Amino acid sequence: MDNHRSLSVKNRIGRRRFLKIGGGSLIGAGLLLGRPPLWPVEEKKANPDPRIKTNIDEALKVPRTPVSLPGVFPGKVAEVRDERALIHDRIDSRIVAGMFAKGMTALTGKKPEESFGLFFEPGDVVGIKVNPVGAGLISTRLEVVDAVIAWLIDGGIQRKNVVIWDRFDYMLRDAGFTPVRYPGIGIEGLQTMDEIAAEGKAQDESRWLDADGRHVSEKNFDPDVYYFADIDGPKDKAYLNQHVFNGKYSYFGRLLTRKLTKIVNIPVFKNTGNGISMATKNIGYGAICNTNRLHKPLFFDVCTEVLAFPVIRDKLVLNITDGLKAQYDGGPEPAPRFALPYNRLFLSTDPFALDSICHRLLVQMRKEMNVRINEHPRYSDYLLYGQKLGLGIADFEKIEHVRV
Amino acid sequence: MSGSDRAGGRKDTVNKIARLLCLLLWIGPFRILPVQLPEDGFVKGWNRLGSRMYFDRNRLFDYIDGGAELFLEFGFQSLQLQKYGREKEEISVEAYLMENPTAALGIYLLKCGPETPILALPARNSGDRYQLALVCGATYVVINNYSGAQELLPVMGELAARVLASLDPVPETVSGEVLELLPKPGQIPGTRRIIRGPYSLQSIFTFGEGDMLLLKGRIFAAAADYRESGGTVYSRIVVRYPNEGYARSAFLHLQKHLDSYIRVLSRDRDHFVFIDFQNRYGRVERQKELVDIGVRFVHNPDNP
Repeated sequence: MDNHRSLSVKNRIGRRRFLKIGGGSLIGAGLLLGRPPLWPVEEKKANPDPRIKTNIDEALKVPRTPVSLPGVFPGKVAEVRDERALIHDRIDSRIVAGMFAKGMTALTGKKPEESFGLFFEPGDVVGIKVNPVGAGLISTRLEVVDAVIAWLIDGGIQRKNVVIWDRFDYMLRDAGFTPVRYPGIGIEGLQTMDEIAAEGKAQDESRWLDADGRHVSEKNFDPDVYYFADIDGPKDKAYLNQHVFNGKYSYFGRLLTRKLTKIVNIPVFKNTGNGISMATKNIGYGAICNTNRLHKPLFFDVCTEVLAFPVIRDKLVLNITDGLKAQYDGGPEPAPRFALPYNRLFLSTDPFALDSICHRLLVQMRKEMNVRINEHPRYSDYLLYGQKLGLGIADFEKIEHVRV
Repeated sequence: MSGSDRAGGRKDTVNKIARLLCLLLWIGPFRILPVQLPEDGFVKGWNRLGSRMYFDRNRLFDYIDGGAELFLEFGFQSLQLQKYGREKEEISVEAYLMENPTAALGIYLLKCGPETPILALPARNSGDRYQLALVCGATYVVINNYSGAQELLPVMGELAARVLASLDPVPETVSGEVLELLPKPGQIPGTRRIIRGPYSLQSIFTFGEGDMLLLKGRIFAAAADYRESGGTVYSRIVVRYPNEGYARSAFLHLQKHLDSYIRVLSRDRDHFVFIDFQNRYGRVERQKELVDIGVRFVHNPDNP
């Protein structure tokens, strides 16, 4: 029996049927995804909530490349700590740059300038995925992004070929990622959202809706590259305003499919309920549109399956979790009373190893802070699912956690 | 059933109706009284930044993408958000109008973490110089001070007081009546929580997929931590369903749909004992319309 709730044998067959994919080789591939049940006696239990069908099998069919996830250093996580980085809410950019350099060396065994070639070629167009939610409190720190950009430029990437991106343009602005702050660097939100319309107060909807009734950001998403999940998004305008599309397809941003050749992912260190909202979630929910429909049926699985698509799997070369500040409760929304200086950066090519380590650290932090914690495996199983898909290492026995 | 049992039953019914009427009297006005947020100058030099933002049930995810489900489960009605500033300083207030006072108290208890009252306000409050949460009637209020500047605490306090002035308080004996389902002996202070569906249950325990307790976002349950005689801690969840039949259905639903990380060790018609993925024990028992659940016992509660 397949113990992962997302992957019952019954549903795998259903998905294959749905996608009209035949052939014994895929049946074999599908069986690899399961893991043995914890309690054999429970095998007969009916699945009360059949898993929503997705097009994950389509992603798995695409041959891997030498740089596919989990990247150059599968299962390796470098943690750098320097208590001088963030003091009284002030960041010392020099210390942060030093932490990045130390972390890179700890990860690669080389100096930063020597490690550049492990990930990039000078002609690459590099997208830096930040997390601007919770601006000023728990968003990606500009100083961390500065250090990464300096490294890229030193390595030979042209400034015009570096793009700081996120799903929402206004959130990037709020978090300080502006052309004034980053001259010559691209800054792109995959979509816009009319905040006034979101409040239901706008008479003029032209800032987000065109004359044909389509979201103005539709063209920013690639209709040929998508994550399908067999559940519709709500049909109301509020949803469309925030999510661009509301059908069963979540399209990847054209920026990712057409322009970027490499991606550096810089999430923050925070919780979402009993789980974490870090490396895999920053990409899983940041690279596609029409996501809210996915929260209820596939919340954590999206963090795994979206990363299996070649547009992410073959471009995401480095993840740096910004742990200068940590939010251990109240997430995913910013909750200042649960945020504290943590003064750490975590580097890995493997987002699943990285999130596994950070999940464990967050659980430990929640216990220390006397916050109720539910450690049920469902809040971290998706990381093991990523391992089953060959996207990373989530088994602690196999993760190399280096502290400097 | 004896005569005294029947008399007691009638008395219980009368008491229940009286409590319900009392609750309705308290709840009624809150459906139509939106919170009033302060105007400019509520403290000298402090003015509104931008316009007031408003989110209803359909738009909450615009504000809390990924976290709206918990509020919706508790009966979220609307959110008003206003920022205030003075020179470079900024604070904001979020006022969540919930379906009723119990829903507001439920959100407050789940969101505030270990409760740390910081201001002498006419409402239950918890927080620090970064964030203050409070609950009054059917409204849950959060005041954010993103800089964390200590000198802004009085401004946060005044803002809270102004917001509270527009609300009618509800005694916690009414809004928190569901919490009285929990036995007092051994209960650890500050651990009481209210549950109304799968999202609020997540913070306590995971039995399986979906609405395992069949609360359906309508029935409130109560939970708290308890200390065992040996010093270890377990959690208890008590639900009073509308009637015995509903309780029986919920009990059977829970037993039938436990996830594969839970193994049932023993069972009879109205109770079962299980062991979970951390080798901790749990016990579920139904008595009339009550379902009483204990989880995270170190020892099998039926064979201590």
